[in-house]
Amino acid sequence: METVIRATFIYFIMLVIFRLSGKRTLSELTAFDFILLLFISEALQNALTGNDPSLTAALLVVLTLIGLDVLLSFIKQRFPAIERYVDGLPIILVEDGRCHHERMRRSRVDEDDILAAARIGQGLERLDQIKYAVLERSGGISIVPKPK
Amino acid sequence: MKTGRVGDLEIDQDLAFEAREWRFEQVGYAVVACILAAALIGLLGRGPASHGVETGGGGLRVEYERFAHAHYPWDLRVHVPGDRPGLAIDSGFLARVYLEDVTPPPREVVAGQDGTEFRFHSKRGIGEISVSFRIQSNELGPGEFRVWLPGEPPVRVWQFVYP
Repeated sequence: METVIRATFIYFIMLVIFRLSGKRTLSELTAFDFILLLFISEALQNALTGNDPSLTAALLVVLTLIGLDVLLSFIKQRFPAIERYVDGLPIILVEDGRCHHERMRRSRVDEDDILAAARIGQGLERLDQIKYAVLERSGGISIVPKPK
Repeated sequence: MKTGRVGDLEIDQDLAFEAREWRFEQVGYAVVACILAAALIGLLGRGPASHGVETGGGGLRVEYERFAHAHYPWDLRVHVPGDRPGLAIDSGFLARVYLEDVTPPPREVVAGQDGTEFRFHSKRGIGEISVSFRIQSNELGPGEFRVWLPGEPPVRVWQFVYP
């Protein structure tokens, strides 16, 4: 029982913490972000199993986490209002070549991030070629180019 | 749920929701900062605010951690006069924790209804004996236990165990 309770508690705490850290935390990883995620998984390892190295405890943790993920996806599907609190919403950062600087500042996205996404996704060269740049729920930036 | 529209873009954007989310983030950052500050001063265990010292009858002195972590050892240090090399700890407390080690090892342990007595060897003329109990607390939340010299009033120790 304790293993299931621990895993459930940690799942929801991590959900809150990552929502708190903003969308960009979950987006494309730099080397440092990748290392940070490794550290986080190491830090949580003992807390999840409670120093119980048995196969049973490990399986219970995995089943609990997957079960919670599936349950949450059902709940989000059934109650769309909950989905926006769990996953967030997309937000337009660039509209018709013009940056919404306040939204970018709050989202911790700068012009370089947007230009990088524009180059990678669409091969664009300048901001004025962008019709919409959207910060998605996942933290990634999607680009809609202006028609040529 | 119907997706909204901004210009030609169908998108479920809600700026009021985003504003609330940003406020939630700011409140969250303040909470995290408070938690880290509390941890640095020892309110979450192992720091200046966590280290407690109580003195009792007969020259007893008890050093302990006010804030401990479950399943992680902490040291209860008891200083007793050299001419009275014995001390007692709540039997109920000892039943609730895991006693990893006692240094120096006691020459005799006598279990009583109220307290468990630990008796030690000591050399003649020694001023003070320091005994270290390495303890793992397993029960969460606040708790209290007593330490005393036989025949003297007890020192009451309050402790909070974090999960």
